[in-house]
Amino acid sequence: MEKNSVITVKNLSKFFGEVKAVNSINFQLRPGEVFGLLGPNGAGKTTTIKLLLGLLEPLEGEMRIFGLDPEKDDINIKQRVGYVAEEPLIFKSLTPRDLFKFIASIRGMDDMVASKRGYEYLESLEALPYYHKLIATLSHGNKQKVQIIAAIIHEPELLILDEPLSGLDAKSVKVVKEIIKMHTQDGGSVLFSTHIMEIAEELCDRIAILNKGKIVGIGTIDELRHQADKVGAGLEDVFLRLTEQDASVDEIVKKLRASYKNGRR
Amino acid sequence: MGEKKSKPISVVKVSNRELFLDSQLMTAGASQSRILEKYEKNPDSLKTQATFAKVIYGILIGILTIMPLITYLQFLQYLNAGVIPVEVLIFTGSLLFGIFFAMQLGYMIMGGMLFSAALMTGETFRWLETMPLTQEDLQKMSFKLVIRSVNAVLIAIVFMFPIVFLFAGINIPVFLLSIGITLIEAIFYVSVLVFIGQKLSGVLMDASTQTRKKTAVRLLYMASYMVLIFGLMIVLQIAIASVDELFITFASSENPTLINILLSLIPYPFAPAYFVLLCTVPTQAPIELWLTSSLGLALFGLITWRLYKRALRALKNVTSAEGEVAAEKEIPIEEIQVEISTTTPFKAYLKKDLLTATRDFTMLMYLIMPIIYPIIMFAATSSGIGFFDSLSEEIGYFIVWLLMYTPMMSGFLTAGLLNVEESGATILASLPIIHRDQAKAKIFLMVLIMTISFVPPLIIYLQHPEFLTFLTVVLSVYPLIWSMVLTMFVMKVRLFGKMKYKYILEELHIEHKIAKWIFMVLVQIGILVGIYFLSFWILQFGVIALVLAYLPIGISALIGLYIAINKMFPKIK
Repeated sequence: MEKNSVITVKNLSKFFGEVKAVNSINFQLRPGEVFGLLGPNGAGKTTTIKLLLGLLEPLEGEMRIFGLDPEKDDINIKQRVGYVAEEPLIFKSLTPRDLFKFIASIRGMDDMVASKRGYEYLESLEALPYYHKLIATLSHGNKQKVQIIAAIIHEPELLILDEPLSGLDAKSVKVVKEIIKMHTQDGGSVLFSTHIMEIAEELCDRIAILNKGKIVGIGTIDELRHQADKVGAGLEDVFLRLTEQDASVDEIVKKLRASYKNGRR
Repeated sequence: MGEKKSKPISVVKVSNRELFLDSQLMTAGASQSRILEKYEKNPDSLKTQATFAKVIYGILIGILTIMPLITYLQFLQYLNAGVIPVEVLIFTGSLLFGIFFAMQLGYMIMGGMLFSAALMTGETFRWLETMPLTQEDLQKMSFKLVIRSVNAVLIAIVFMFPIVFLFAGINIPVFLLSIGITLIEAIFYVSVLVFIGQKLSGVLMDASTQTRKKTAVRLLYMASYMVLIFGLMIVLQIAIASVDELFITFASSENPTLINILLSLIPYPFAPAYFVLLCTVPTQAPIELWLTSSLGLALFGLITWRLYKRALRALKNVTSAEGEVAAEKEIPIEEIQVEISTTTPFKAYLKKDLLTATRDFTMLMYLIMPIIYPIIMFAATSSGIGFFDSLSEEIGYFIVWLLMYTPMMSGFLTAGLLNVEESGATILASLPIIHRDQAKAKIFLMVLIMTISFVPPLIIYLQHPEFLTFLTVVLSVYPLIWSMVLTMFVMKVRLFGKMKYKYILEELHIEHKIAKWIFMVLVQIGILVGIYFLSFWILQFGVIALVLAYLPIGISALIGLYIAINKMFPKIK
């Protein structure tokens, strides 16, 4: 295991019956780095994250976060991690106020620090008007804002973000991207899972492309271009080539063109 | 394009299902994802469940008609015998008819309130508004949706009561007249249902819950429905058992002319009750009672008409998004203060669970049922107090009733308190949770509620000359009761939350879920049967022997469970 890595994953596998959700993957996340996990639906991104958080038990392989085993030392790890999940299951019967009080209590935070940070983040994400409203009544985007604040209020060393920008308005997307940049400038690290190529291209220092549970490409954008044999191409084309979806996309587009020519409009 | 246009009414079918799902989701709280998952797997189950619910309430109303039927048969019997004055018979019969009408309303509310609440949020109409439908179409749809949600209940309400007069006395004029009265009642009930739906939707969907007062109001409001439901059930049980006794009891009282006049003036539920009963004895009834009951009935008609108009207006408002936007109140940002005060993890878990219970109907039900059940059971069987040959026999009867629902109550508490974590899965996944603290908070609430749930039966026994003996038995049985709920907790965590290095309270192993629950309940029933056998055997040696046996067995079980729970959730430095 690499000593300086924030996250080290070696030959990690997780199967659900016949489905190989994660199949012998290897990667490292270095301090101050934004590492992207990219892949189509069902590629194994969320399963990888759940394994890292100790929410699932691996079939085989090794994982270390800050040199600790997530299966045994999950409490110590989670003190230093902030997690935003793809689906915001954040106690919809509570208000953000109740939720932040609960989180700050479990994390053993100081009242003043929690209140100050809470206010700053609520204000910057324009979520103050929802502070006293039931989470169940909030829109998806506003729930996502609450979830993001819940993940960063203790200012963790490592952020694990699974589609964090989903449902957010343009202004909030910009604010969250800036928060991520400030976090890494401050020495923090980010494991970032997304479908959106432009955001991955803009934010990630290195990217692992997952397909059917396997890593099919890993490295910086330039390294990925070389691996895909697509020098000068955008990340989208690189992604489609590495996940072997480029041919099927061409086929779909061809069919659609034919259908439009045949007078659908 | 030549496509067939859908009539607005055909959209009602779709909206009806949509609303049924909404009504379930509104109260499902933490179980919302499970409900959606179920419908995803079997979309037809939604239609079946909606129909089933309606039919069940219709059948319940039908069964309820036994009460006026028995009343009317007794009324005719005593009338023909001529031993009890007609006014007394009218008083007793009308009183019982009135109670029946009030209970009908209660059942109607029970059957339709959630659907009506879902309708009155107006959510369904937000997407319907985007379709080429006029405001009038939407208003008609909203009314049809309410009717459709309770159609089986309404049919039962309109026809079952009049049928009594065909069945018991073949009185066709009264049959036809009572159909007219039940029709007015049906309109009255639907209007009331709309208002209750409006209020309930406000409480369930209210986003501004920043004050403790509002939370308390919300809790009380939600609990009041359960009090109403269970109160009605008790009244039914007592009424059916005591109709005959009531006629005889009132026969010995003074002539109730004044009470009759006053009651018959009350528009609902007594005026219609008096009017119908007077029609069965038109010549024997006093003229002043005819006048007052006619006046009361006219008032009832007027009130119903006004309520109906207001309900229509409320339905009209709900179909338009304009009213909704205008009603929303925003707190100025400058007034919002962010004060995040922290506490210990144990208190934080407790507070979270209690807050969730005040805003989550399903969880509230899970927590309140263990307290309400013993009240119902003991209220319904309290007539048996003091009618036993020996104290030992009565203690045996007491123990049977006291412990009968313990497996169910353990199940309610375990399911309610552990499943609530599902709606916060993301947050819990990210937090450095010490599962021991989390388990401690849950166990504290479970034991507390179980302890409280055995107090009401004791209050009923306060009148008993041997009250202290009953108190001692309850105190000695507490460790056994706590052991039962803790056994359920331990089984649930072991079967659903076992990981390689730890146990978690959330459900990880959801496979064979039903089989696991059946197993857990069977274990509880097994323990209960064991306690019953032991109790009856030891009771041969007297109540003191029973108390002396309960305490060491219960305490030993608690010690065993304490060790097991400590192993599952060890202390973490």
